Amino acid sequence: MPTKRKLSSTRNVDEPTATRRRTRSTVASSPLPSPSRNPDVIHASPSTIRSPAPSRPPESAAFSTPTRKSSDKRLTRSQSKVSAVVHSKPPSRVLPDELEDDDRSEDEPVLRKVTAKKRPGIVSSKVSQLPRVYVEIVSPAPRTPKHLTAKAIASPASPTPNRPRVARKLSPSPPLSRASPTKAITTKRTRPSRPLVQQPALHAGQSNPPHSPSRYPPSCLHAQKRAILHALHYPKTAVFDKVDENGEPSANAVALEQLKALLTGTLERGEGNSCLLIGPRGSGKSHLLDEALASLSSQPIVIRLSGHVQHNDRLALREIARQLSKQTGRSFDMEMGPNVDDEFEHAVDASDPAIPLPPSSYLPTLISALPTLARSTVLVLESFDLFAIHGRQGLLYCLLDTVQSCRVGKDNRGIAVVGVTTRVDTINLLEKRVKSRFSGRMLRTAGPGTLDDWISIARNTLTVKPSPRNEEWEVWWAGAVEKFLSDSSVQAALSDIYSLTKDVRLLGRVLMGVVLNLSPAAPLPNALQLKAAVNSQRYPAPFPFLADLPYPAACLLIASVHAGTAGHESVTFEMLHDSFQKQVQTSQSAPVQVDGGSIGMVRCHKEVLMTAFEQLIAAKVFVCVTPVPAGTTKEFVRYKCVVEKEDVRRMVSAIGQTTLNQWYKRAQ
Amino acid sequence: MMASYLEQLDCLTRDISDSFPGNDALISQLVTLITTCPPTFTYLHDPHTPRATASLVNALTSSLSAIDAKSFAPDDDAVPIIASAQVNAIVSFSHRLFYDTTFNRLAKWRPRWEDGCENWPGGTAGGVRYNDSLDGFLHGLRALQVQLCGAKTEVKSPRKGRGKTRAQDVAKVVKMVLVVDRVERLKESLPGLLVPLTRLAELSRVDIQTIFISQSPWEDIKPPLGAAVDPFHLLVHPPSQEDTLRILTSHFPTDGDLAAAPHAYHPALAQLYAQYANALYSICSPFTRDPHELAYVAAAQWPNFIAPVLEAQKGLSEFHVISEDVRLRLLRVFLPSFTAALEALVPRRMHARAWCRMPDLSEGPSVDEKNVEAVIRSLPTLQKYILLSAFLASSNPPRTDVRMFARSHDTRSKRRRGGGTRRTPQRSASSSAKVSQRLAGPTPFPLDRMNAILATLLEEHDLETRVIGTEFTQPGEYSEMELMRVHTSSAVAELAAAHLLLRVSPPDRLDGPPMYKCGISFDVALALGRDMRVPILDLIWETG
Repeated sequence: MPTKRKLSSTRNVDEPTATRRRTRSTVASSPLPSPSRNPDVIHASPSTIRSPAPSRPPESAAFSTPTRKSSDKRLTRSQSKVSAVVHSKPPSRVLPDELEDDDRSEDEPVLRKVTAKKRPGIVSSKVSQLPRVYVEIVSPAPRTPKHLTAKAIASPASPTPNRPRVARKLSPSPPLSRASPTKAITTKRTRPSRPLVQQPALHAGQSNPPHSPSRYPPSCLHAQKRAILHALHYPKTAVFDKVDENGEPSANAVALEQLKALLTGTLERGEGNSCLLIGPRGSGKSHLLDEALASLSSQPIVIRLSGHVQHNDRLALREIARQLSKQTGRSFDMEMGPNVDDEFEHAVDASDPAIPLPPSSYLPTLISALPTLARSTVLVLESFDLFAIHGRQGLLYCLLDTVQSCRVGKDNRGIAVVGVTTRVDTINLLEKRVKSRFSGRMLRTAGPGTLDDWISIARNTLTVKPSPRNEEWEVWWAGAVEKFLSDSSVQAALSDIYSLTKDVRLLGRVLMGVVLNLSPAAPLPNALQLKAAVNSQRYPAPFPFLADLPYPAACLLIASVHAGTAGHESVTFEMLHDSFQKQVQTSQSAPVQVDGGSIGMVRCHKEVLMTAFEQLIAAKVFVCVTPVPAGTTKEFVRYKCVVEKEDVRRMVSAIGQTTLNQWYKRAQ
Repeated sequence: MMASYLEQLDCLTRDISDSFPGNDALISQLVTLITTCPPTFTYLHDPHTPRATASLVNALTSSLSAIDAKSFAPDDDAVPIIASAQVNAIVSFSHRLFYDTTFNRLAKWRPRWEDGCENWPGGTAGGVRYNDSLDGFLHGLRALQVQLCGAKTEVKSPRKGRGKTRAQDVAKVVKMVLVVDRVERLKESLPGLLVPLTRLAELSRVDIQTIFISQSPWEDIKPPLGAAVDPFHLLVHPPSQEDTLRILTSHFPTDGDLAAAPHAYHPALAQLYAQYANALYSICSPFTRDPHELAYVAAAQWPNFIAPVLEAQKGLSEFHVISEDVRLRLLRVFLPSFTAALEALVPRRMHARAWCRMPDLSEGPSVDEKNVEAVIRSLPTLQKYILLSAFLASSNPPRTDVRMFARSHDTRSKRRRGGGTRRTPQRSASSSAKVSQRLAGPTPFPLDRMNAILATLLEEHDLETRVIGTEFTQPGEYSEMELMRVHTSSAVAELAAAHLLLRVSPPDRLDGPPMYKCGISFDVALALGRDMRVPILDLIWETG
């Protein structure tokens, strides 16, 4: 039920303002006894309002502050214009309505709870004994100025238990988003808006959690960061496994089942199997494989090869033998002995008596012996496509031939070859004789299918439970994360990444950038941090140092822009220096002086300029266009400036020197 | 226990932040990353001070790995054993060097002379070697992980299992950190290692983190075809003014003896040094903000700066406080010399010691052009003429030679006659303005062409200084003969050896005349022309 209401509330946000104005505000008077008296009731409904602690200062203190008075006055004024309809409703309806209120963004103008204290004529002051009352405000009330509400909320006083929700709804925004400790005090009086994340039930003792971040020791935040970083390091593929909206299982779930079945066939029935695991980067191929291997009933011999490490077949064969020796404890050179025709292998053999390696001429025989080992063998070939460019694809041919000719029998334990790759056309890379021995099974993995999946990955990662459990903290943190994720700019940023790439690892890096910047002083994630993290992780600016360049380097860049305007695609240092010197002469020729100093451009020694130029070359701002002919001195080598004109413009305005700015503008 | 470990980390963070000012955010991020669950591959891009950052990371990882995990509760898995290795890609230029350095540092293994300078794992491991190939390296990492787990904890495994999982279950978590410094060089020296290093954790299946530190952005180093994993990017921001000043003043030794005789780094001068550094920064910071360069300039200039003060203190028993007035006067006097010091020292036209010995600081060093001029002045006359003609040959287009140097008048008039109207070539919109030859650099010329110009120059300007034999009757005959002499060719070879002429064609090429370029600059050529009374400007085709 609450989820339904949540959906409707999010729809409300999207409605045009005209419809939104017709809102309803509630006169809150809890029909429930105060929590100290009846804790079970609160416990039973997790998202009911947490009443403030009895130890709070009396409400009168709050009302004595001038800000409070003014907001009260304003409220009264607005109320005088509206026709208020008082409903009496069963308490069960309270929760959804308030959820709706909480979910509204700050922009919504007229959401406000009117309390018994403020409307003495309508509701009696003995609110705790009355049923809950709703007031429907038909015409829009003027919007509360932000600073007023903030001040009112920040006032240290709080209502007494008898008037539990006097000031709660003065803030139009869900108070859990408050980043600063003072503002976060208000969250004490609210329950967290809980539309999506499942929260643990609140106990009576926690019905008033101290929601100020300063209440939690830094170790809480540290533990949370640890947990999040751990979750990012070992991502769960669970979110991929659920069914999609059509009721069909996701691609990864299908692939996992198929892979399990295939490996089980090898393990239990001694089959020879081969398959390819194809999917884009970050779609969970390796994790899926690990999961499948871990789920097997008995442990096979797992041999892992990677196309990035084993560049040729001999290295690969040697590595197979080495891993086999390690996992079976048997050496594989007994039949042939140290071979003499291969010096490299021989040298390794001589130096490595602990792990005897078979000579290379024996190694093809080794592969055909794989199914006859004591346990089944699983060969994992990471970057399978790179194995296809090995000479004559010998290793693949041997492996797949062995797999194909693996007959179920007494002495056959089965062998499985699993290729993992991102290339979709890998099968076309195989030679005909290799391809015909490959079973053709291709399991596909895919990234998260919908944006909701994507966001829920972020949510699950951020709300992972820290290892020393602290439920108060978890509730508070979950609320903070929820607020963070429901921010429209955060949603836009996440959907931007999603539309560009579905690589979950990129999302992980962005979240890591956000989490790393959390500190005990500012423990809440916010949209700005996310934006900064996205900028630095998704495509880091190629020249982040432009705004910090010293004067000579900036001059060189401007001079290169001038050269570009004059039609020279490539420049020599002499050209830039000449341009700079002419500009210095021009600007210093004006006899204008301010405070006894010339306002023209500062001279710069040619060698200093040259040093700056060399630094720019090292930073790849200037790149060589043609191969340097012999006997060319460094001043006359032709370079091209790869910084865009627009970036130079930004640099000039960031440096903020008038003379540079004028010089740059002349290039337009 | 957790708290105390955190406190220890806080303490460590503060210590390192003090010694590397301005990097607080980076240090705390790195500490958090290394001690918790780091991304397997981090890329630290520092376009400004990569060396300082490398030493920062080195100090950080080594002090993190120095924390004794055994002093904490054995079941507290929040306290990892950290093994770190920092490898400089310039030093470790071969595979074997790279592997051995990594292993020795991760295992804190020091090769000793007595043991035959063996690398890890030493002779005790039964002669196993892990440095033969990348496969061996990965096996070595696994073995090292087992060794680190086993060596540091005495807890016995309650369960039977295979090596790696057992080690992780019972022992504290071992986290390895491999830092590679100057990765841009790794791309040139060991390109095959780049991709495996980015995927090291995945390939070796141990908990190892790779951190690359580089001055170039990742885009420049990234292997093609998406072979490498994308890194977690960290960007180091340039030090602010306060940070730079703190770095500069931190170079002043603070532990000196106050009672010592006055010397340039007497502790009583620390305050003056701070003001000096401030003034230096304000003068030099527009030109360079690299703390290393500024510290270099400061160190070179300080002995001269403080010399008057020390002179005044000579003979006094104790150090007198320097008055504000003296400070201001000192700074005012020395302000111009800061710029000169910057211009000489930052491009390293002089080293700091030579700068200290300079008699007059405000004048600056003798510039390079003057050095070149002095060398050229000492050349024999013929070589000077060769240089001038080479300069003219490099500057002028060959088609203009007749017009510039031809002696007979009828050639010119013939050319003019009957030519019709002279057409200037139409410049299309896309074509660019012509770059002056002086800026585009000297063009190569065949030796024959230079000889022809040389003959003209000799005939025009040098003839009257010579005693010409009676056998020369034709005009120009003497100069022709001069060119044919062996010593002209040897002078050309000599100048080429001194790089005043630049040979363009390969020395072993036989067909055609050898090609040269002029190696002296425009200004030097002008000065030389003035010396030789040759009007260079009149002989250059382009006067712009």
